[in-house]
Amino acid sequence: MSERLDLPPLPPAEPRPALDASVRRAAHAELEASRGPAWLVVSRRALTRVAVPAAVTAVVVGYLHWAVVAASRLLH
Amino acid sequence: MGVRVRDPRDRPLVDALRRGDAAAFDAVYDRYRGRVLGFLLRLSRRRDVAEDLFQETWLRLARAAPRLAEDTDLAAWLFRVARNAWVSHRRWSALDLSRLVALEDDALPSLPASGGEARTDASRRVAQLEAALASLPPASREVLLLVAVEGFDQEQAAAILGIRYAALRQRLSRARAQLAERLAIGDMNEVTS
Repeated sequence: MSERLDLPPLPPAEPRPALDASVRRAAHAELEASRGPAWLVVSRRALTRVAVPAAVTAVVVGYLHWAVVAASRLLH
Repeated sequence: MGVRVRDPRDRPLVDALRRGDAAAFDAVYDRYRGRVLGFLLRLSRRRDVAEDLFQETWLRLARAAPRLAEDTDLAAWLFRVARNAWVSHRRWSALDLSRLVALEDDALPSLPASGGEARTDASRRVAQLEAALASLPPASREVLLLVAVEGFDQEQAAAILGIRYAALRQRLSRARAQLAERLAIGDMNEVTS
């Protein structure tokens, strides 16, 4: 039994030129990054998605720790 | 429950995408961008949200390209990712009060008209349908958009939504009844106005 409804076709929606360009640019960069040997792709992803965020987090936590210690020393 | 290739034109594009071919990405993007954005606009009813989800969908395709199965049905794959992105967005929105408030008074974003400036019968019927779809609950709206608007068959739609075929038929039947009711009310309003 067909469940197709008798509806008029609804038009597609074209993205704005800026959005269009942004999607293509970002997607091409992703495709470029996914080329090459598997080990290189995995290492690159590990670096950008794990190592760099971990390093930034460590720096921020270290700084906050130093700031708290320094502030408490000043108070005493 | 997988979605397998239906459109033979997709096969060479999938092969090229798996090799990271940017031209293949552009070809897929040019073929499906209008449908994907229209689907997200009608689903989310907010242009800013739809555009974010649109971008996310295509980036996911670029990231997943090397791991695509050879027989991937690109249309179904894209709509499944777009719909899942929307579902995630709704979950996060529920935690964000400001977005929740925005959802309360959201308006249907301007969608492209199907004809010229003249308000023909056909364009009026399209506008009525857009308004009726927008007024449906999300679960009914998404199933109708996939089956009745995008033309996916019921098995594909069930795979996209991640539900069983029997559940899809039930949901579709309920959605059709709701839509018919909304359209009848719309017709009545037009006659009485």
